[in-house]
Amino acid sequence: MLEIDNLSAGYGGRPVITQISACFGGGQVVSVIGPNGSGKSTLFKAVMGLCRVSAGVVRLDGKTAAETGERLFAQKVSYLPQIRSAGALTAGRMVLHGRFPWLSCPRHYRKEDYERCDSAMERLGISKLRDVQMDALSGGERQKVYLAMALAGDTEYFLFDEPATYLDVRHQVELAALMQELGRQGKTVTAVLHDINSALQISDRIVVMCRGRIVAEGAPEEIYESGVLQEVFGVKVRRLVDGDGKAYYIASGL
Amino acid sequence: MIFMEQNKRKIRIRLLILSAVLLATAAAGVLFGAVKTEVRDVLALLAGEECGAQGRILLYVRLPRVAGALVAGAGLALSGTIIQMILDNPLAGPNIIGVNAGAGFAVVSASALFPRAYAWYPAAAFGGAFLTVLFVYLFGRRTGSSKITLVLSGVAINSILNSASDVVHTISEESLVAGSAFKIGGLAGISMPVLKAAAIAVFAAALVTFLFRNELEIFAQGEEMAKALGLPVAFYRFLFLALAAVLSGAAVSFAGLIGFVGLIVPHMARLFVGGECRYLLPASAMAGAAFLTFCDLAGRTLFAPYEIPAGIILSFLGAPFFLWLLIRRKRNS
Repeated sequence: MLEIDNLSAGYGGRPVITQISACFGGGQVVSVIGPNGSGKSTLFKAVMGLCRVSAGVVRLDGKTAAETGERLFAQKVSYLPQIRSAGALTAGRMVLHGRFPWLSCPRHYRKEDYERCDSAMERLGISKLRDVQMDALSGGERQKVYLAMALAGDTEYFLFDEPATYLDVRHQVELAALMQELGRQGKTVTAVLHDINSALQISDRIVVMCRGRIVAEGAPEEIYESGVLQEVFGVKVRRLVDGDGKAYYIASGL
Repeated sequence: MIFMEQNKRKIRIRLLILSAVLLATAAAGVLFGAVKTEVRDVLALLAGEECGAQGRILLYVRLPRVAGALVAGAGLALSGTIIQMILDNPLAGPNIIGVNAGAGFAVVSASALFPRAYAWYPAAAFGGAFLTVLFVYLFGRRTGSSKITLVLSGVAINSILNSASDVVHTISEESLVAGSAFKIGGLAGISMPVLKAAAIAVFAAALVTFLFRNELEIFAQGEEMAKALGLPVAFYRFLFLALAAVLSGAAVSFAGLIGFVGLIVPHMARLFVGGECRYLLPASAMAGAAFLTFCDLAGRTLFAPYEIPAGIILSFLGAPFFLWLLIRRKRNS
């Protein structure tokens, strides 16, 4: 269980998120949604210890990150940041680095790591890109490399910050399927999503953030019914159901 | 799997080519020079025969000089590779951000204060280099400055430290590490005891760096990524900056303020074998060694019997390269 208790965090001066409490776990797919600047990315960074936490704690299975230790924490939680560099490494090498938390010092990769790296790349359909340098890939391909890297790490918790960025529509659909599949395998997937429709469609639970706080939390149905989306985003969201009973959410101006 | 094997083989072949180039350059460095020597002089020397004039030139002038160029070139290039990766800044190099100047100031001061303790110059150089690199790093972090700002602050640090060196030179007659020659950087008149100590330092630091190559590679993906992957960032930052300081400090301690090797060579090596540290580190070391040996050879043969210090040749090559890097950056952004 990844437990966020009364967390306030930011960068330097004023905290960006204030008094956030939430709980992720149990193989759920959770989407964090909210307008730009509402603190979604900061929440993830605070969980990973990448920004200044001024109050509150994050507990992984009842222990704080410091008690857990950097390596063990990284073995359990993987994080896909929003801004990703592209260096002179090959895609295969990058995915392999997803195994880094599992190595002990001095860290040299083992056969098992290469195998897991291979299967993660296969799962995302990027085996062919193995020897291509990251800076020669398209945005979408690069995105898949980072997703494969997270998969190779074989963690229990995934924090994806806008994983759909740069992906074309087919790859977005594949990503949604991948997230749901991970959930079925008992992994907990938490993602910042901008597309309200896919967030409401694929998630078990929705967390709505606004101005650094969580303003609503619940099943997609409840969130839709509550009207909080209209309040937070300033748009009207309608729900359409097709013949098979599948729901679609469409936003339009007020 | 086939893909991966092919890629690996390609890179390994390139490393072989590079080592062949290194050997050829080193051989040329020993054979050619202002005084004509021939292969049979070398063979005679190896056979342990009585040394003639040629033999003595080989033994006491050429060999130390080539050995010095190899050690300094490898040290500076590796140092530059580490610094560029840790600062995540392709414009950084030990001479650009003032690390060499820090080492130089320490060596000049040590030579003024303790003229006889020359075997300790590499240690002094390490101290100076480490304090400077730490300062540059903290300065960049504290001010959140951009890559260009870091380079500019390097200009300031360079001129402060070089002026300080000049002051020491001016007031101390003892300090005959030789003012201007030291500042230009070159391999004429290498002192063997200093070279020996520096060579050991470079070799040891290179080994440690290679041992932690995966950590370095992770670090180069940015501190956020490194931390998310469970790397104890603070410890490794300290370790790698210290290694970079050992490597460039050792080179400066006997070769003076040779510039640009640590800036140019990492870029060449990355173009040649890619960013994977397993290949990049040896490629950098070999290319740096070969490059500096070549520049030194060019300097002493082009206008023989006059000699141009290797440092000057390097500035002629390195400064335009640096300008090219700046222009390319501007275009990309």
